[in-house]
Amino acid sequence: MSENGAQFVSVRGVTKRFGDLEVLKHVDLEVAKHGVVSLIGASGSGKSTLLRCINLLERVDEGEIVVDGQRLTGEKVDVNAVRRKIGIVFQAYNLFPHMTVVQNVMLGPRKVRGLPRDRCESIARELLQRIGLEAKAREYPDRLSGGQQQRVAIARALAMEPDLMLLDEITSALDPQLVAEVLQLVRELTEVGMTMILATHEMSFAREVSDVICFLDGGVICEQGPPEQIFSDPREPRTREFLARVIEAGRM
Amino acid sequence: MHRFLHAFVDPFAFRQALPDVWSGFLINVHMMLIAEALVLVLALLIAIVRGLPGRGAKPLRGLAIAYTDFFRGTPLTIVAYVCILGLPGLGYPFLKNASSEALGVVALTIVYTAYVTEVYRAGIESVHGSQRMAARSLGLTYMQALRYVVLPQAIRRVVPPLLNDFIGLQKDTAIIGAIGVTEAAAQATNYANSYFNYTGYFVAAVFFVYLTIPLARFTDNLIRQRELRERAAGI
Amino acid sequence: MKRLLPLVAAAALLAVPAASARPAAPPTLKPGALTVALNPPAVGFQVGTLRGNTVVNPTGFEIDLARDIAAKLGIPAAKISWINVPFDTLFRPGAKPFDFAFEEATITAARSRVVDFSAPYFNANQGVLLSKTATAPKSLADLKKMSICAQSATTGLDYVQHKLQAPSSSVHIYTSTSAAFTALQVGRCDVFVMDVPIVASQKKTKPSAYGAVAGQIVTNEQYGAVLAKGSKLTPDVSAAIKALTTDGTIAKLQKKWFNIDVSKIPVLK
Repeated sequence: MSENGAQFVSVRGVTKRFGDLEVLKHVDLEVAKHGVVSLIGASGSGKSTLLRCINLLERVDEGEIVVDGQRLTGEKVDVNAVRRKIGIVFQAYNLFPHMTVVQNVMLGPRKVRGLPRDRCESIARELLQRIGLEAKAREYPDRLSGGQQQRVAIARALAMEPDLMLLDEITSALDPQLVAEVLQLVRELTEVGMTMILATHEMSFAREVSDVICFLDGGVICEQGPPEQIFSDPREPRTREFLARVIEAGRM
Repeated sequence: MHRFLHAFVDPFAFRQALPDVWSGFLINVHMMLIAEALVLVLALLIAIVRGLPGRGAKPLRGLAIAYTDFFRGTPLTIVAYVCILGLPGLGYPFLKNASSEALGVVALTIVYTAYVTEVYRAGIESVHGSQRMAARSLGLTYMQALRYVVLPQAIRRVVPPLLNDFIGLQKDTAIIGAIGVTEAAAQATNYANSYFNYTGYFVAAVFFVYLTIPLARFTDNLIRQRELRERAAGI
Repeated sequence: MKRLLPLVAAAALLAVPAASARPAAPPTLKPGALTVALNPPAVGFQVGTLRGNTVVNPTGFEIDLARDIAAKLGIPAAKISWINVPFDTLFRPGAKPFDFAFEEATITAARSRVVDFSAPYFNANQGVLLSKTATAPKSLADLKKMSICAQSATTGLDYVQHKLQAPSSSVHIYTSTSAAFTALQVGRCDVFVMDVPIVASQKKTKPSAYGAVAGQIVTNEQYGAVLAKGSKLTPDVSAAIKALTTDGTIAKLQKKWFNIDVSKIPVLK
C-alpha cells in the first residue's frame, strides 16, 4: 500500500538479454516505501534476474531503475555506493566460509561503512541476538544448519542498514523443517517496515506478508495485484494455470 | 654391484666429500629461502593483475599473460645463463656488482613466479563466483572483495600445489651450480672430477631429500585434511 | 701339362696374398674410419660449428694434427668424423664413443688411472688472464687474494683449489670454457686461470674483451690425446705423435697456429 504516493522503487521498461535470450521483457514494477512485493512464477521466469538488476549485479540492456530518488541504471553510477543501501540475500546463503559467523556479519560495517571494530562487533552481536544465534557467533558457517546459515546471511545484509532488502528464493534450498524459522525472521522484518522485494515459492507466506504479488512468466509481469485478488481470483489464464499447478503440488 | 656401490656410495668418500658438499648445500638453502619469499609475493601480484576487470586493464593483463607464458616455457638453465652471465654485461653497476648467487636467485624467481602465478590464478578462479557476488553485494569494492573474501579462500586452497612448486624450486637451485655458484651439486662434481668417485652426488642427494621429504609429507597431510573436511561439510 | 696347371694355379693363389701383404687396419671403432672427439671452441687449438653431437668444419692445431695422425694410421682425411664430447665427461671411467680425443687434456697420474693418454703433443703452463678492470697480481700470494674463474675438471681448477688453495668462496667454477671466458668478460671474476696457449690465443682474438695475460704459473703440463683405458689404438697414436714430433711437423703446426711468444709472459711465483 503506498503511503505518501511516492514510489520508493521504480522499475520501468527493463529489458535484459543473455546473448540471444531475452530474460526480462519491458518489466514495469513499483514498490512503495515500507512496501513488500513478492515475485512468484516458475523457475527461469526472470525473478532472480530482476532482483539482481536492482542491485546492479546485472546491467540492464534497456529501461531504467530508480531507488529512493536515485537512478541506478546508466553510466557513471557508483555501484558500490548503491549496493550499500540495498541488501540482498541469496538462495545459497553464500556465507564466507573462512570467517566466523560474527566476522561474516561484521565485514560490511567494518570495511564498507568504515566503523571502528568494537562498534561493528556490537552491531553484529545485537543482530545475532535478534535472530537468536548469538551462541553461534564464534562458529564457522559449516557448523550451522542451513536455516541458521540463511538467518546469518539475512543478519549480514541487515548489518549494512539497507533501505531496501531483496530476498532471492531464500528458503528454496532449505529442508522443510528449517523454512519456518527463516520465514519468521522475514515476517519480523516486514513488521518493522523494511521495504522488501522477495522472489519466493512459499505461496502462503507471500500471501500473508505482501502488499503486492507479481506473477512473472517468461520475463514478463503477467499479472500483479493484491494477494487476495491474485490468489483467489486470478484474471490471467497463465496465472490460473500456474496457481493450479502449485496447489496440485501441495505447496499452498 | 660392488663396483657400483664403491663408485656411488662409498663410506670413505662420503666422509671426505661431506664438508664441502655441506657448505655448498647451505648456498642452496640460502637461494631457496630468498627465492621462495620473493616468488610468493610477486606471483600473487601478477595473479591479481591477471584478473583485473575492465578494458583499461587489458594491456596489463596482456603483459601478465605474456610473462607467464614466456617464462613457463623457457628452461631455467637458459634463464640462469642469461641472468648470471648476460645481465652483468649490460653495464649497470648494480648488476655488475651483484654476486652470481644473487643473479641465480633472480633467475629462479623469474621462472618460478611464472609457475606460481598460474597456481594462484587457478585458486582464485576456483573460488565460486557467488562468493565474490555476495561480497560485492555488501558494497565491497573489487579489491576489497578480493582481499577479504576471495584471496583468503583461494590461498588456502592452493597451499598443496604451492608447496609442490617449492619442492621443485629447492631442487632447481642445483642448476645454478653450472654457472659459477659452487653449491652442493657443483661441489659434488668437483669431488668427482678430483677423485673419480661419485659419492659426492649421493651426499648432495641425501641433503636435498632431508629437506624436501618433510615438506612433501606435510603437503600430503594438508591435502588429506582438506579432503576430510570437505567430505564432512558435504561439498 | 694337365697336372702342372693345378699346381701352377695353386702356387699363384698362394702367392697373391703374400704379395699384397700390408699392415692390418688400425683397431678403430669403425674399421677404416677414425672418430675424433673435440670440444670447441679453444682458439688456436680448435674451432668449429656444433651441430647436434658433431663438429662441422673444424679448424685448428689439433685438427691438423689429427689429420696427420690419421694419415700415419693409413686412414684418409675424408674418413674422419669429428664429435663433440664435453671436457668434464672425458675422464669418467668406461667405454668411449671416440677413438681418441683432442681437448688440450693434461696428462696426470690420477687421470691416467682411468683413461689412456698418448705420447705428449704439446707443453703448457697455466696462464692468468685478467678482466678489463682487474690489476695484475705480482705474485702467487697476490693471485690468491683475487676472485678466480676456472673451468670444471681442468688442471687449472685443480691448481687453484689444491696448490694455490684459494678460498672456495672466491673461486667461480663454470662447466665450459666459453662460459668462463664470458664470466671474465662481464667481470664475474678478476682472473681466469687456464692453460697459457688457450688464454693467450683467446686474448689475441678478442683483445678488447679482457685485460692482459698477466702471468704464467709453471706447472710443466703436457697435453696428450685421451683414449679409453687399455685401448688397442694407444700405441699406434703414440707412435704417430712421436714420429710427427721428430720430423718437426708438430713444431711447424705450433708456429702456424700460435704465433705467441710465451717467454714474454712473466712467471708468477
